[in-house]
Amino acid sequence: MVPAPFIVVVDANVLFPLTLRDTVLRAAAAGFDQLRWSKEILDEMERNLVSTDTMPADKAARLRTTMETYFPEALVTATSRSSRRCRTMRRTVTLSLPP
Amino acid sequence: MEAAAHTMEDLIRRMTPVAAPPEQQAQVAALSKALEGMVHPPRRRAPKCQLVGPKGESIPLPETVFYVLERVVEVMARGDSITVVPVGREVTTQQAADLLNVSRQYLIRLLDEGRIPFRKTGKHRRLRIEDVLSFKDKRDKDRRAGLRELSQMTQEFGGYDSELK
Repeated sequence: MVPAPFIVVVDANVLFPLTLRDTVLRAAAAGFDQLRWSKEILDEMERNLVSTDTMPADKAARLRTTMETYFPEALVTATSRSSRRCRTMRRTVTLSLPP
Repeated sequence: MEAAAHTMEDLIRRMTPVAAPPEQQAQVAALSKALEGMVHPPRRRAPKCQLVGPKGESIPLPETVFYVLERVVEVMARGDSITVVPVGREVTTQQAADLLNVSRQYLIRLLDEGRIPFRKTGKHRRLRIEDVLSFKDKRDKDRRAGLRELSQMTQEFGGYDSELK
């Protein structure tokens, strides 16, 4: 049937820039890949959006909730195998972005 | 001619890839061009087409058959071969997960939460394809609204001005 697409762990530095996040989410919604993130990743994204004055705290929280609502399958839980893989990947993979 | 037609039907039934032979390429290309003209630009309703049989009788083509035909001809016009694989009315949990672009683990959770109906055959679970597709339609529609909301926030906080300088 439909071939399983790539699984991509998106770290906080990918979710932080507003336009990059929009693009990544839209690509996943179009079926190009499957996203994975953890509670810790979303915490870090939210924290940094607030601490850099990119967004006020309430908006950052709403942004996070919206992402969790519409991409519920992306969240990996603490006990799952993908969560351990997620942590391993966070240590080994760094996606560098132009400043 | 009769024998050749049977062989072709057999090949397709046995899911052997079938390509248009060189002498049919021009016909296939013309058909593809005609069908493409009917679907582009996309419209709400499928164009009403009919098959005209050897005795001049006309048989209407249902919408789904029309779009399957359009796709088949498009592939064959490129010179590629095609296989028709029947999927059946029911799918496995893995097939449903692939259709929804989620992990099998997450799909099982949806079943356990009663979000998609399923049937048990022994220890395996089977889902009706219509149930999977209607869940997907609703999910995709909601998600498009969610993505619009996110883009609005991006715009509100200057994402499209500041980052693209």
